[in-house]
Amino acid sequence: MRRKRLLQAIWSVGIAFAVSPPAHAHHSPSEVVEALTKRIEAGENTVAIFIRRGDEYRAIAKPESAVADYRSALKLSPAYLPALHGLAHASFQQHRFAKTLEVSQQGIAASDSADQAATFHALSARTYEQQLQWERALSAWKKSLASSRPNINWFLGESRALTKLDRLDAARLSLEAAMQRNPSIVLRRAWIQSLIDCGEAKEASLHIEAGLARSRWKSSWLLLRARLELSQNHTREAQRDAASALQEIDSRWKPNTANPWLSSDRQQALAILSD
Amino acid sequence: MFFRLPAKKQVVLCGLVFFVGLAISANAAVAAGPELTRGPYLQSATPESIVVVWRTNSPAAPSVKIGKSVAALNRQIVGGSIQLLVSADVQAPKYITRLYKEPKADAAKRAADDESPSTVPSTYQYEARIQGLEPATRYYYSVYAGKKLLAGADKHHYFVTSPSQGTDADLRIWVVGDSGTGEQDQKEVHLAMQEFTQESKRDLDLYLHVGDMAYVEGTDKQFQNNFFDIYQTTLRNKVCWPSMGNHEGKTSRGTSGTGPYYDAYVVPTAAEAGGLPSGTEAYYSFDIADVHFVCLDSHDLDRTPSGAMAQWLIADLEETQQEWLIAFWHHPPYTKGSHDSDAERQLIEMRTHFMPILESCGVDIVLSGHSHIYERSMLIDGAYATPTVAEGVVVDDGDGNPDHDGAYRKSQGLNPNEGTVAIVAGNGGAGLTRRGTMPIMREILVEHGSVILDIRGDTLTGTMVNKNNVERDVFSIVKRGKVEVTHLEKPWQPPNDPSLLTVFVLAWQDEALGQLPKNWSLAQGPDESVVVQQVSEEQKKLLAVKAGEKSVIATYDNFDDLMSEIRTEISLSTDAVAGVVFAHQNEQNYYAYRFNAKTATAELVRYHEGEAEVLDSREVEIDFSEQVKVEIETRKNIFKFQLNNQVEYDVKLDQPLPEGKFGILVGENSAASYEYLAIRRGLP
Repeated sequence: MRRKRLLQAIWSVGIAFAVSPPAHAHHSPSEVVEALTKRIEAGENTVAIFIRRGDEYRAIAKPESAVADYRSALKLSPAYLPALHGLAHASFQQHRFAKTLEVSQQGIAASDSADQAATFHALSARTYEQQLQWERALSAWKKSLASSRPNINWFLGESRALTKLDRLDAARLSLEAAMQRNPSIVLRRAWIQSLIDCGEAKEASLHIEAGLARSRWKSSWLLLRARLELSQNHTREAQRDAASALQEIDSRWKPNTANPWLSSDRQQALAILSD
Repeated sequence: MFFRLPAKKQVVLCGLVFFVGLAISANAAVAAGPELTRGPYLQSATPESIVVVWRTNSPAAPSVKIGKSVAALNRQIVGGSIQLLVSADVQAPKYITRLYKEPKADAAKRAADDESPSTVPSTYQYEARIQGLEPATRYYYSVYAGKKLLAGADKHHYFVTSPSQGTDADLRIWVVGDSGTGEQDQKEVHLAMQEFTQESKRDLDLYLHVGDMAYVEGTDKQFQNNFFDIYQTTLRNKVCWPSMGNHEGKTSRGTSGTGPYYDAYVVPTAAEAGGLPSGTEAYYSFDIADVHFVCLDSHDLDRTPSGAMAQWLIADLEETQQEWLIAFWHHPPYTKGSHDSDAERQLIEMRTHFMPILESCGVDIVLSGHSHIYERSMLIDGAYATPTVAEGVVVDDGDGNPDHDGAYRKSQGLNPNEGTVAIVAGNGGAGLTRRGTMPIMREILVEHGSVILDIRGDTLTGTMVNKNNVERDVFSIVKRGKVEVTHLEKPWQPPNDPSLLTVFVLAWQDEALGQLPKNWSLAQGPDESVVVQQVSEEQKKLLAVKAGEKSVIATYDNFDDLMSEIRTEISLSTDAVAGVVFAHQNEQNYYAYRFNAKTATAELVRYHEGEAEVLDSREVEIDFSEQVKVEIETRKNIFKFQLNNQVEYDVKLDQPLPEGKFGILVGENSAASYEYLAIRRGLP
């Protein structure tokens, strides 16, 4: 019995001092989990405490524990949005896409406003993207954009889905509409790519040349120009730009270190060079 | 927060808002007249503009007057340049932006005694964007409600516009993190900065806050009490450029840009102050002189390399033409303070996804908080691995102090991979902790304080000033000519000295099974009476103690200091006497807290020169057939005991606890086991 209790009462190494911490004595997520667990064990079974612990579990990449806590919260308060939000995201983290969609739909149904529903629509869209269901992803992205404060990633998602569905003009128009609502340079860069996709070479070229002139580092603009040149079957010019981009990338990349951004750009340059 | 429209549209809207504000004002019956409830404070400075923000508790016809001397505030700003925001309870047209109100569902779930995060009712926030100013020029200002002077028109209310972009820097920057407690340490850190700037006769130019500015949940009231009230003497004439901490993130959302944090600040979203448009106040950039500043949201946005924040950062950094690059956000890429950057997702992602982008663009300084400690790195490059190691990622392992090892050197301008100094400035006020040693750090200090960065031309100097106004760390970076960089295979590393830690989790390694754990000594009792015994496959170990005719005391060798907290779980045999010892100086002088399972009592005993004095003895309603969780906190001469989260009591001593060792105690003919032992060092 005692042995069982010992096992039940395991404290992970390194999670000391989380009981009744001074409110601003900062604790790691593991410590907070420990403190919350103690409170739950002591009988404090509230919606807020389960959600809080679920959030902390997500922070330390323990989605299965997070899911359990969000479910506990939902038992106490069915259709409570923060719990549905947490559960949907934790399910997504686990790649349990059917569950993610199911919970997102519950979240949408429980939302009072387009703003509240938007995050659930966006998560649904990401889930459909994972399943390569681009039409459904597009529909979900559009619904997320009904929000009064749409996230930049949602605009990008809509144009990405349209591009995947080969509706290139619609993708360009969606980005133009997005730029009316948000000045982000990321939307503008995506729009320039959409110009290339739509064959608007002249306009795309204007923006690319301006970007090249402004920039200290030019590799991403060079790759964009290379894609424009490829779209016009100017393979030699494209490869020249790709080679210049590759040279700059290599000069900026410390060998033997992971650099996700430069790695991606480098692969694009090599792909153009190998065409 | 609200998305701020492009300037032209905003002026039109602001004009409408202003007139509505006037109408509201005219219809309101407020006998006492508006009173200032926040500010005035400054935001979003550029060479030609600045934003003055303040709040009142009833409607007002707002205006600002500015001038180059207190006696000549001869320019008045009214109408279209002042935007009105109101709390949700205020009756106003729908198109007026509302300040944060907690969603109904959340409010229903909140405990009745928990503070509401919503904006205080009857709040009117005014944001006056003043344009057409001269660069690097001091202006005095005052704010009014109708004809009533609310603040200013004196020597304390002024602002200095930013120098023109591209000019040689001559800047002093104050960096603070994790400060928003509203308590004495925070105030002392602020005061120390003020004393430091006065003594060095160089005022601040700007203020960077790296997050956690309003504990515990970033509510509107907590912002007022723990940020605005504390720093008002600085905020009224210096711009604070913020980054959101996880505590602000409890009520504010980067995804939507809403909440008390976003209400409080006005930061550039459309490159108003340089850089490229981010389209969100969650992350942004700005230029001052020849320094490019980048603020990121490490808390609640997509941190993947393909996410909008990373893509914006890449675009922004590719185009900057500045000479210096400073990045700041909340979650540190490198730390072993109260957080561990080798174990926590946000910290790992900021290191593995964002540090490569920044270093490929020549970043000079990376500032963060979150971990309640001061840690300052050597000149590093390419430290993206998990766990962080020093080998091969340090390009200068000196201390960077011009008076000691010499300044760090980089080439002129922004050049990739020539080295970064990463600073964790989480020591601005909240409780401090050190759990380990981050190998790339050059200086690790468990002291409250803040960082002053001075940039003059090609030299940046960083100084950590503690709360007593003592310079505790100084380093410089000189960017001149062309520097060849070498990554050191075996750089200097900070000693991993357990005596410097503030938290000791007394776990033991497998090799100690069946033996007295490493770093433990038997102060009393026969050999082999204390052994490590594994009890599960989850790396949990049990320290088993069996005493014979004499009682057993074993102490931990690596701690001989002031203690502030103990935690353990004890299982006692029937009739056993067992507990912990602390402040153990020798066999004659120590304190003991021990249980007697037979009598169900707990005793606090002081041994002085071998004489026992029972300081407290009481029966405790604990089932000693089960494991007992013990937590002891000491605050000067107050002991707080908590048993099994159920029994709590305090004992006041006649003198503070002295320094000494920590250990376990098992009485004669008793057996006990300790599943877990941990102690926290007390800080002066």
